[in-house]
Amino acid sequence: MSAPPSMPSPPITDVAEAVPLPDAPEFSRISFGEEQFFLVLAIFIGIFSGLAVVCFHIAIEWSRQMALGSALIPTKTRVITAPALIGLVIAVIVIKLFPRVRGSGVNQTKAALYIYDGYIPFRTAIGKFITSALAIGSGQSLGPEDPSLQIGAAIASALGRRLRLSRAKLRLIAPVGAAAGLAAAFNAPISAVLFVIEEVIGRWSAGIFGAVVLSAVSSVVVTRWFLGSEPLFRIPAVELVQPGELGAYAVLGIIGAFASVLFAKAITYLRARLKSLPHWTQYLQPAAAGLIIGVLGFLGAPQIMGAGYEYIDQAMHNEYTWQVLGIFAALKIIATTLSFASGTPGGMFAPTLFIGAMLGGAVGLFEHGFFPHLTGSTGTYALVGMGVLFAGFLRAPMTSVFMVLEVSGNYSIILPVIIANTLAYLIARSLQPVPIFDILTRQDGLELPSMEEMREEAILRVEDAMRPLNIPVLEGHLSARQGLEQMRPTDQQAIVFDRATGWGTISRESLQQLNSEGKGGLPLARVLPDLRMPPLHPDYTLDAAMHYLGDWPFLPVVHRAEPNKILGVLTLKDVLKTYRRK
Amino acid sequence: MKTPRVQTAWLLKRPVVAIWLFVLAAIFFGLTYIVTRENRIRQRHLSTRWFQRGANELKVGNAAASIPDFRTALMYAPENSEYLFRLGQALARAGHKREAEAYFLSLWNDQPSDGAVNLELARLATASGRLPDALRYYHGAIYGFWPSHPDDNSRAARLELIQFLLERKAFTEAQSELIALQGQLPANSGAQVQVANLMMKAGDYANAFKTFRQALRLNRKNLAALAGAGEAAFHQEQYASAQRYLAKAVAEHSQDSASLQMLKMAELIQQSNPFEPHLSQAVRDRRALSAFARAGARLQQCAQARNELLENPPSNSQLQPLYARWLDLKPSMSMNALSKNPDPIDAAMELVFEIEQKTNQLCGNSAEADSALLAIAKEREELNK
Repeated sequence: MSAPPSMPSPPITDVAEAVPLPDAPEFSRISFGEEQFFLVLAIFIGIFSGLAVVCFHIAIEWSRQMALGSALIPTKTRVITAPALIGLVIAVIVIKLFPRVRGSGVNQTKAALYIYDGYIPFRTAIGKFITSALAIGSGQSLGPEDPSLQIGAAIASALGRRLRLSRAKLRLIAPVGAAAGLAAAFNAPISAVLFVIEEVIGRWSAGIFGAVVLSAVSSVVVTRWFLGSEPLFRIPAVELVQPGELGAYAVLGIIGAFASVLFAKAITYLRARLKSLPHWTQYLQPAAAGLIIGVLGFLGAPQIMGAGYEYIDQAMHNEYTWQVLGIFAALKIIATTLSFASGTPGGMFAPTLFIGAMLGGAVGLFEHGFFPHLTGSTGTYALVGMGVLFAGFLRAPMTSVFMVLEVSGNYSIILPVIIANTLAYLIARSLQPVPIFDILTRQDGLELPSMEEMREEAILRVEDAMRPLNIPVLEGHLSARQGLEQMRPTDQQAIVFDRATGWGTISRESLQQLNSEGKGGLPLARVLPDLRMPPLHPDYTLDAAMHYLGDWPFLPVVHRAEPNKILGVLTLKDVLKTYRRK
Repeated sequence: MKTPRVQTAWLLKRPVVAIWLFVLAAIFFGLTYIVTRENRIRQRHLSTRWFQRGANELKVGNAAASIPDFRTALMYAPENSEYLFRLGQALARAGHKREAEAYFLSLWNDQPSDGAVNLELARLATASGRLPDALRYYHGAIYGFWPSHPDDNSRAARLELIQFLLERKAFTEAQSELIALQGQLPANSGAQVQVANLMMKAGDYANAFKTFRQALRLNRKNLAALAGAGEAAFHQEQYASAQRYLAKAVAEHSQDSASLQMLKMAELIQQSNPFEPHLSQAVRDRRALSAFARAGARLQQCAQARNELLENPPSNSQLQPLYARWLDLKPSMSMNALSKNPDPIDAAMELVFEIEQKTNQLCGNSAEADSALLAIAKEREELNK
């Protein structure tokens, strides 16, 4: 990616000189804190992102009708020609006009957050809109959710720059827009919020969380206002009747894990190979991918083209045998690998759900053949399968659970979902430690923090670094003379605790001086300096402890329930040693 | 004088910005509204077009060809329950019963009281032999909501259920449904006869008879009702009543051989029964003697058919004890003897009935007179119960 332009300069005066502006109206003097304004801005970002996603959704439909016709199953001629021809057009548009629109959009949003101070050119939103709509509509095996995420992020970034937000807020505004875009595309605000926090931002904090939620909710409200609140696909009745069936879903989780790893390896392998080809081939790669997908569709599997939500619906309603479902899952992996690796703009969410649904349905039907007493319907297995692939391939375990719940609206499915998703996540992680998004980032030559690694990172606490108490503790009511007597010859410092005034420290030298000045009878609490040592607790993070350590040579670590009970001491050296050890 | 920097700064004041954003959002909202409205019109047009195509295919019997059309229509109108319903119907008719059931169940989850959906689910359940589900859904259809002609549709659903129960020989359940159906019948002779015929199939002759009579009250010349009433009466051993109705039926339609035969049998039974009320002693004696002689002849005939000699029977002969009793009673069975002592008639007729039943069991294929005596025997058994 090329470097963004430098941060905006102070207001231009040229226009003001040419056209004198009126005095500021009274209401403009109303005070509006940045935090509050950020939240208000988040709502507008949600509205704009929602509107953009609605238009994007319609653009995909029109593109599909133009490329493939209005029938659910396109004619053979269109199936073969449309993805290839439009792939050529997309390649030219991307290379000549919008080079930043390649990829799904998730990593690009992360790059904006961590590298480019929240900068995403608005041009990217336009380019992503046009090229993804053409790609998905013409039958490339990609989805609209990731582009929606990036469109939302770009809108937010543009707004933030225009409004001259602080650098810290500019950096955070892209994920706010990302959540809005994704929520609108999925019609699932909770999943969108979780995904952005899980995969883009990587941490929870009250300030960003509020803005992300507001933007997601407002975008979904807008989307539902225009497009209705119908789910992406009809979910038949799902329920878990016998707890023993959880084993069947566990099997699905295991199989899904292997499928996820296979899918990830295929994409990363092919993408690397295609990127290494001469530059001129980039004009042909999307067309070649489209042609292969078209041939697969021509040979009897048009269901693998496009996002595929209509066919997920059919799979859930027992339309296909398990063999056919398995074939669809395999072909979709191939098709999506081709589309994505060739650099065609578009997302991986919808294909992931498709593969998961087909695989889940296949496993469910297969298990039914051997265990007819299993009561779970094909729809139930397909639904769980979607969550499995989401967890295993995209490596967003929390999002995968909530996504299934939000899409199905059925809480009784939660146990199978949790078990299957957790198994898929753990197995996929052990087989492929680096998640797909991180691999793609590295292939692009960027070094972005791994959200998964951040989640796995152990938080270091005071108890990990503190040392045993080796300094005498003196009561505040003792006199200086008594204190000196209690100190050992080797002790140079002592900690003083007084119930009224708290913790302090005093040196042997100070005590000796007091004694020599005839003030040896004064209570220690009276002779301590006014500034008191802030006590730490064992569960404090080292990060929090560092705020205080700079001012003191050491700090006492005390028990939470017994504030006068000292458990140890902590020094800056101890902290640094612990970090290095980690 | 304020600098330009100060002059422009107020435009970036947050309240002003909020207003600008609001205006921008309103403009964008308006544009999006126009776009979505156009899209909605287009989608409606496409969905209607594809649905019509599918409906035409289904109408001419091409269920398989209609399926992709309905799916396409649903692509543009995903929540249209009518489209979903027709897709389910097309799938069912094309033999994709599992898929059809899945779609109907989706509809049922949204509207569990929809009569048409329940009916389709009931049909799918009957096709796969699931009696409890079929009953549940049929009742759902019978008591469910029908947007038009609710009574007719409810009645039709119940009739279907009854036919299903009769096919499964669940006669008790069928009878319950038939009784409930009676309350729903229109004032229409044909409908009454249809239900009465079903009652006959279910073995509920009493209610069938009542219903046939109800039909006759509406149309005295209804041939099916006349014949049906006669048959129902016959099955209830009400032979006088049966004779009356069957005679009228035969009079209306002499080609009705079944009614004619039944009429003849009813007449023969009545003429052979010595226990008919209001008979003179002489007629009673004559009928008893005739029955007694008939039983004797039947014994001979059956023994001959079994290559038995009644005078010299095998040790395990089932006929010989009866013959011995017949011989014992024979002296007291003459007009003269009976005029002096009519008491043996009961014992004689008991023997006659035993003979007829045993010979029917062993030899079958009895003549009409023997069948008549068997019918009289059955009637006596019922009376004695």
